[in-house]
Amino acid sequence: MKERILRGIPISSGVGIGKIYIYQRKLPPVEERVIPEARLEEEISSFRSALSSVEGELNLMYQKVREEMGADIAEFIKFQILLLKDKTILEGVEKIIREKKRDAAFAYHQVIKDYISPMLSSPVPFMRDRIIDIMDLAERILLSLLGRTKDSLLSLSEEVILFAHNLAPTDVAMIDKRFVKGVAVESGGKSGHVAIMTKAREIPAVNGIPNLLSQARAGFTAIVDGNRGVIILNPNEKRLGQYRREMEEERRRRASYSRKKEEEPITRDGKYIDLSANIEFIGEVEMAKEYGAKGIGLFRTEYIFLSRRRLPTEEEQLFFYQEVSSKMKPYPVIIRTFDLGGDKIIPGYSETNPFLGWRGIRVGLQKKDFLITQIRAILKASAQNKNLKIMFPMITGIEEIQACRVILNSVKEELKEKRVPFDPAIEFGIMVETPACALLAEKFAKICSFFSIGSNDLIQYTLACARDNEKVAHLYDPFHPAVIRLYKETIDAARKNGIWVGVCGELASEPLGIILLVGLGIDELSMVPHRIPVAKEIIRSLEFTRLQDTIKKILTLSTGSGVKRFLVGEVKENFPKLSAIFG
Amino acid sequence: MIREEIEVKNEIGMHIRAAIEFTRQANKFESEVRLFKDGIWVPGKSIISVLTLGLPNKSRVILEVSGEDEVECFKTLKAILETEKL
Repeated sequence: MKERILRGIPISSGVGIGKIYIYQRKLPPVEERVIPEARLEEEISSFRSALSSVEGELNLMYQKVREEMGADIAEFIKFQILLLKDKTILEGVEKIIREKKRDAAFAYHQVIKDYISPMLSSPVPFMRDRIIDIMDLAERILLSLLGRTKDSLLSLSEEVILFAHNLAPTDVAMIDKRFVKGVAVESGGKSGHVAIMTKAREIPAVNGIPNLLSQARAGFTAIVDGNRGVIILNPNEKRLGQYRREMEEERRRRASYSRKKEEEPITRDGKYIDLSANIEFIGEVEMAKEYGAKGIGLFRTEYIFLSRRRLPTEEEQLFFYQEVSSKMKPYPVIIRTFDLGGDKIIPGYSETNPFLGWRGIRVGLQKKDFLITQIRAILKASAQNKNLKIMFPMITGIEEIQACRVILNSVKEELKEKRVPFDPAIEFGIMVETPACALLAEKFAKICSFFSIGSNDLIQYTLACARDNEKVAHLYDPFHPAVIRLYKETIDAARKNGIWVGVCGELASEPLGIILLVGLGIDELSMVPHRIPVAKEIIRSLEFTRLQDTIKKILTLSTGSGVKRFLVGEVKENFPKLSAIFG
Repeated sequence: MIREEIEVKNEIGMHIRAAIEFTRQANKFESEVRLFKDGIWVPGKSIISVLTLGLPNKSRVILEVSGEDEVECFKTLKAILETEKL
């Protein structure tokens, strides 16, 4: 059997190897049965019983998903519960049972069919996606009427890779990770419910693979590479060997990390570096804690907006912030106010140069209601655990942060007047992601309580290159001496003014970057949760005082490649244990 | 009975959360709730009906509420349809 490589969208990292298990959702066959007059009430009663028992199943599932993955993801299940109780559907079903004297399964099938058809041809992917929720519900109800429960995913006894055209939220929720080692789905994109849930459950997954099912044969071996977004059918021995080695590496690393979870990120000469996590979904908080994060260094709030395609209400935001605050306490959570481009706020709005355009705090200060609502929600949420902080994005001038402060104070006044509690000592800080901000860090340090260096954007703005432009992506260099001077400027200003400074860009999780930043005097590093253990290991091998010589030398170099070469040399000489991480 | 044409500033047909919110609130009241658009009336307490109605931003829909608690109900539902504050 020839090896075949299929490409898709990587939606959840990791590698899985197993036998192909093709998951085809099928509604149980419905035979139309005539029900005699005398048994009609009994049939209606059976129907109500089935509904009741499925409602019970879904409630349990709702609790489980809510607990493990957050309330936002659990909404998909809530939708099914409301659908189950939908009076229009129920009345339709009972009508068919009574008037046409047919059985409940047939009646339910008839009613649902009529709703699904128009949705099938909806141009909106989101609507088409909801069909799977309806089908999942219908399947459960029909099975219940037949005296069965849905069990296809529970009767596995060997390691499999799940292949499907699509998966319902309940399907992903029910995956038994002992047997299901990976997921490959034909449909879907980077932000649908399958992507969100497999990522939250850390199940390697790839979707967006056209014609997957027509190429797959059940029982044959497949590899899901959620890192590269690739499915390999009938992998040859060499391939299997490579992947198994990769998986073994990962396994060993994880095992040592969980043993080391309780170790502190402290240099050999006693300098403590805060390690925090960057997150977007409530569900990621658990993962952050599991990997040893002692705080959320960046809570991106854009997802709350993008998942609704409208402004979230104050209540909706309040709920989010309270959840993250409670789940992370006593550790701090830094909430970054909406950092969106104008095109997300005003439909149809477009710019020729969005990167240099209307986004971040610029939008916030012009659409003040927007910003005020968010700040009010954050303040209200801060009352309970007093572990929230506010961070403003895309700052370029002192007037901007002063305007933010005015707004913050006026909302505090408003809440005080209404006797609504909030944390009076709540801190605010800024993302240092523009050259203007870094160069003027001294002035900003007198107003803010903290800085967080957004290295990704800072590098792009400083070196005038876009990472996603293949012609110039090679110019993006986090170790370019010009950018290093900006990190230094920012960090020194923070030190001088007694405020703390962290980094939330990718550099914070890159081995050489960590060494550079720790050497420059950073207080905190915030990154994607699964990189925290490596960062900790690196920090624990460093000596801050020794690093000062390294930094001094680096500041005399003229090129990014020179800096990198020097750092690698330093690692080999002074921190040999770390060499392994650099491969 | 309260009946009013409302301009939707909330993409209720486009996202679960909005449809769920509208339906959930509607079900909390005693009053009958109906929505009229494109020639058809749909029951406002039915999630599937609301979801499939499709109410993109800036579309116009007639909301009709009748019953004992119609005033409160209408106010609540109208607010959900008009939630976008910009």
